[in-house]
Amino acid sequence: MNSGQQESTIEIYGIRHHGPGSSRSLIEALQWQQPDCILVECPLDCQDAFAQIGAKNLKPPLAILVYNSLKMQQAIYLPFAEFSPEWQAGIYAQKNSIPLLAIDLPYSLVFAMSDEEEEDLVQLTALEKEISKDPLGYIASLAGYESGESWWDATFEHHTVGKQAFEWIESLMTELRLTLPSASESSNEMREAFMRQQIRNAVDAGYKNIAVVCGAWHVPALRRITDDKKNKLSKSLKARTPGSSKSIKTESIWIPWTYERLALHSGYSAGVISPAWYELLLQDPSYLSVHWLAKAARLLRKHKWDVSAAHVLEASKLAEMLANIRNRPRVGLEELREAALTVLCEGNESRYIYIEEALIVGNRSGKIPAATIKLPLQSDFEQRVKTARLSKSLLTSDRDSKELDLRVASNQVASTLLHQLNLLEITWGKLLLPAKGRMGNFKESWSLKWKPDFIIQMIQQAMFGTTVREAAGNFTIHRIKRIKNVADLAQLLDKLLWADLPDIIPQLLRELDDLIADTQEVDNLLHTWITLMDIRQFGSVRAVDLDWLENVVDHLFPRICIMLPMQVRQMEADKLRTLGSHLERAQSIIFKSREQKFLDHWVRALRGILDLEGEAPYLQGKAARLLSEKQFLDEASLNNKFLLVFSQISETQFAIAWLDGFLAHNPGQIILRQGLWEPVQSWISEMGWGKFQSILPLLRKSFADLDASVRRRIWDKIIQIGDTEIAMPIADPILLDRVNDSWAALLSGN
Amino acid sequence: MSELSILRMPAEQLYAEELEAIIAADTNVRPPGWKMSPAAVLLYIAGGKVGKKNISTKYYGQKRLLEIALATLATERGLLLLGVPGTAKTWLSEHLAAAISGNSRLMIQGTAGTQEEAIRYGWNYASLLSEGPTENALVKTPVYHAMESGRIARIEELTRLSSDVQDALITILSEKTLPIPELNRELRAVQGFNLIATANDRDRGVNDLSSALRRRFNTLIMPLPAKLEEEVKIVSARMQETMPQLAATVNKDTLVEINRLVLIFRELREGISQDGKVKLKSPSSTLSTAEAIAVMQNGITLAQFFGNGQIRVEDLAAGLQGAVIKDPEADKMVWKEYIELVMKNREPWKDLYKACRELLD
Repeated sequence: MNSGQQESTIEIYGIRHHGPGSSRSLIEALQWQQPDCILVECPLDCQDAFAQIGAKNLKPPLAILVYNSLKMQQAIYLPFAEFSPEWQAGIYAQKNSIPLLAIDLPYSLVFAMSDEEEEDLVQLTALEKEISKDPLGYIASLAGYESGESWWDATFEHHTVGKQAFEWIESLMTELRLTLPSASESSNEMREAFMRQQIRNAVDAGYKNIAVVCGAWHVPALRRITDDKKNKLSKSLKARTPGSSKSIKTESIWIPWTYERLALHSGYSAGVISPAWYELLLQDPSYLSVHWLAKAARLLRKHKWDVSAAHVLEASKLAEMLANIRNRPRVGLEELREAALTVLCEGNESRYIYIEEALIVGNRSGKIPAATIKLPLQSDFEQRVKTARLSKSLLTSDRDSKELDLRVASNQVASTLLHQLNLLEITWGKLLLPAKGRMGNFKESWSLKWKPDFIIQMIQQAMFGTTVREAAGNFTIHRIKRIKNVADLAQLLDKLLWADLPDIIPQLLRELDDLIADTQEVDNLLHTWITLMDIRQFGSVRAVDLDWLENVVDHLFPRICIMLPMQVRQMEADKLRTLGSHLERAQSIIFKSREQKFLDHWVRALRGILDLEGEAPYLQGKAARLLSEKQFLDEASLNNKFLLVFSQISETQFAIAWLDGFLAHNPGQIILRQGLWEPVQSWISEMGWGKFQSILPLLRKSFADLDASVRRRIWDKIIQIGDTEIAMPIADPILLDRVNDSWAALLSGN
Repeated sequence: MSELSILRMPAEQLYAEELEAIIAADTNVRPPGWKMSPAAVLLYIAGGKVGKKNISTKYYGQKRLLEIALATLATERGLLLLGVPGTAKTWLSEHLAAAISGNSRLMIQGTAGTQEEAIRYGWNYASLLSEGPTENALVKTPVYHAMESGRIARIEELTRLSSDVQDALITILSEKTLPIPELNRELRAVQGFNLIATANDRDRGVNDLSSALRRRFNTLIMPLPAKLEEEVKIVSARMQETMPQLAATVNKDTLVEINRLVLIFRELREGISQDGKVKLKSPSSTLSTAEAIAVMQNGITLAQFFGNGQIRVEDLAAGLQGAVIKDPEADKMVWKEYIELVMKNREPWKDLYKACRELLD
C-alpha cells in the first residue's frame, strides 16, 4: 500500500460548495493536473446518478434525490447548478473520459445511524456549525465581505494560477481546524475516515494521478491519507457496511430543481444566495460589473422605468468608487447591488425587487429526460391509493363518484389523500359536498376523474417531497406567501385541517397575522373571524388540537370592534347587507360561546354604530336590534330611538334604511313590541299618499323577509294603536284611507 | 446679566479639534479639492479614535450608507438624501460638508418662495442701475461661492422649491457650469465642488423632482434606526446635548420613559409588537427619532415648569397621542388598536394605559 502511494500523485482541492470562484479555480487546476480519476465528496450510494453529470439531456439546476427505498420520507436532496464545482468536475471527467467517483459516507449508513438515534454527545455551537458548514464564507465575513464569492474573487482571482489557490486554502483550513478542534463532531470524523478509505481504495485500484474535490473544511483531514488504519471509527463503519445486516437500501435519482429553491436553502452544503449572479461569475468575471448593470437597466426599462445609458455609467462609477473606499480590488455583488439601488432605481426598493428576482436569484429551472425510473412521490401515491381503496377510480378515465363516510377508516384515508392532492394542485377529486362533521354529518361526496397530465404535475412537484403528505405540506408553505386575501388564507386553514396537515398551521397563522394587520376592510376581517370561530367551535372531524387558534381570534376580535364604528360610515352600499348578515352571525357565535372577553368589545362596537349621527342607517337599525335582543338596550331607549328616527327631523330615506336594517335577517320577538310601532304608524300617516307611494317598494322589500304570521301580528299591534289614537292629522281622509289600506295590505300579506 | 451664548455653532467650529486631529493623521489619497480622504471622513462621522483623541459618533446608522454617500461625492455626482422627517438627513449633510470642504455654511433652505436668483446669482439693484451689469453688481449665492471655491453646497428641502427653480440646478449638476449671459461669461466650477440635497419623501407631492434632475443625483434613502438600543441611545444623547440644563435631571426614571416611548414609536412604525405576537397598523405620522426627542423634551419641560421635575405619565400620554394621531380618523383607529392590543397587556404599563385611555374617551 505504501509503495502504491508513492507512485500515485494525489491532489486535494478544497472548494466552497456552489462557489463559482471555486469552480473556475478547479477547472484551471484540473487542466494543469490532467488527472486520471476524480474523486468527489458526494455520498457513495449516489454514484450511479452522479456519474451521469455531463450527459447531454441533463440540464442543471438539478438535484440528486437519495431516499430509503423502504421508508420514503427518509430522503435528502443534493442540489447542483452549473456553477457548482462538483458539476464542473463531472463535466471535466466526461470530456476527458476519466472516472468520476463519489467517495462520501453513503446515505444508507447515515439513515441507519439516524434510525438508531445515535446522537452526538458534543453539541456544536451555532458558530461552530456555521464554520464547519461554510468555512470560507466565515473567513470572508471576518474579512468584511458580505458574500464568500466576493472574497474568493478578491483573494484568488488574478493572484493565483493552477492549484495555488487550493494550497492557500489548505493552509487556512489547517489553521482554522487547529484553532477550533471542537467544530468537528464525530459524524464529521466518521465521514472523513470513510473518504480517506475511499482514496486509499482508488490508489489500490491503480490510479496514478488522482484529483480529490471536497469541501474546504475536509482538506486537512483528507491529507492524512494513511491515518486511522486501525482507527476505531473504521470499525464502527465496518459494522454497517453495505451487505451487513444493519444496512439500508437506498435509491438515488435526478429530479429537476430551480434557482429559487437553490437560493432558499441548499440541504447538503453552505447557503447559496445568488444563483443568477453565480452563473455570470462562472462565465466571465472580468467585465461583469458593467455587463450586469446594463442587464439591470434593460430589465428596468422593460418595466417602463426610464433608465439611460448615462445611468449605467454613473452606477458603474459609483460601484468602482465603493470598492475603492472599501479597499477591494474589484467590484463585487455588494457594490453592484448598492449602485443599482442608489442610481438605477433612484433609491426605490420596489423597483429593486425586479433586479433581485431576475439577476440575483434568477428563474432558471432544470430539466431531466422523461423519467424512466419511478419517483418516490409516485410510488408513495400509488401505495396510498391502494390503502385508500381508490385503485379502480385510478384505472378508469371516466368520471367516478364516491361517497366517503369519515367514520370508516379506509374512507378517511381516501378523503385525506384527495384533500392533500388538491393542495398539490393535482385535482383528481372534486369535493362536491363537504362533510359538516359539526352538524353530525360525516359524509363527503367526491367526483373523481384521473388525467394523464397529473403524472407530469407530480414530477414537477417532486422537489417538494418524497411523499404526497410531505409534498403537499411543503408546496402549501411555498404558496402561502402569495395569497393576499385574508379570507382566502383562512379558508386554506380549513383545507389544511381536512388534509390532516397540522404541522403547516403555525406558518400559516404567522402569515395570517401579517395579512390581518394589513387588511383595512372590516367586513373581510369579520368574515375571517367567523371562519376561524367556526373552525374553533366545531373543530375538525379529525379531532385536531386547536389551541393555536386562540391567540389569533383573541387579537382579531378587538381590532374588528374598534374598526367597525369608524368604517361603516364610508362603506359602499352593496357591502352593507353582507356586513349586516356577518353581524348577525357574529352575534350568534358570541352568545353561543358565552365568552365575556368577546362580549364587552362587541357591545361597545354596536353602541358605537348606533351613535353614528345621521350615517349608516341600515347598520344602525341592525345594531339597535342586536343590542336590544340581548337587553343591552332597554325598552325605553329603543322606543326613544324609534321616536327619533321616525320623526320629521330625519329624512325619509334614512328612516326606511334604518327600518330595513332593523328587520332584515330574521328578527326575534322584539319587533312585536307595541311601543315601537306607534312612532312608525304616526310617521306613515303623516306622510301623505304621494310620498307613501314612493317608499312602498322599499317597505315591501324590508318586510318581505318576515313570516306572514309575524307580519300579521305586527298589523294587529298597529290596529290597536289606531283604536287608541284619536285622529290622524292628515288633511284628506280619503288619502289616509288609501295609505292605511296599502299599509294593511303590505303587512297582512294580501 | 451673564453673557448669553450662541444657540448652535456650525459643525466645523463645534468639532474643530476633531477635524484638525483627523486631517493631521490622514495619510490616504484625497480626491481633488477635498480637505481629507474618504476614509477620514468616515472616521469623523462614524466616530472612533485618532491617536489618543476620541472622535465622537455623529451618525449612528449603517456604515454602508456612509460609504455610498462618500463614493457618490467622490465620483462628482450630486447626493440626494431622501427620507422621512427626522432621519438625520440635514445632520448628515452638514457633517459631510464640514469634513469634506471645511465649511457647512454654503446652504440654501428650499421654500416655496425661493427664487432662481437665490440659486444662481442675483444683482445689487443700486449698482445695477448706476453701473449696469458689472462684476461689482453681481450678488453671489452659496452655490456660486461653492463652485468658485471648490466646496460643497447644500440644498435643504429640495422638493419645496418650485419646479422651475429646481431646473436651474440641472446645468450646474451636469455641466458643472453656470452661464452668466449678462456679463458674457460663465462660471466653471473648481474641483471639489458638489451638491448635497435633502428631501422628504413623505410629502413627495409638494414639488416632485423632475426625472431630469433626479437622474443627476444619486439617491440614498435614509432609514430609521435599526435597533431599539440604538434609538434609545440617540434620543438620550440628543436630549442631553440640546437641553444641557437637564443633565442633572436625566436620571434612571427618565431613561425608563425614553425606553417606553421609543419602543411604542418603533412598534407602531414597524407594525408589529416587540414580542412579534401582535401585528399592528402603522399610522400616517412618521414617528421618527426626531419626534421622539421632541415628545420627551416637551414632557420634561412641562415637568420642570409645572411639576416636580420628574416626567409625568399624563404628559407623556398627551405627547404620544399628539405625535401618533395626525389624521383624526385613521390614526385614531390605529392608536386605539395599539392601546387595546399591546399597551393593555403589559403589566408595568398600567399607568400609561390608563392615561392614554382617559385622553381618548
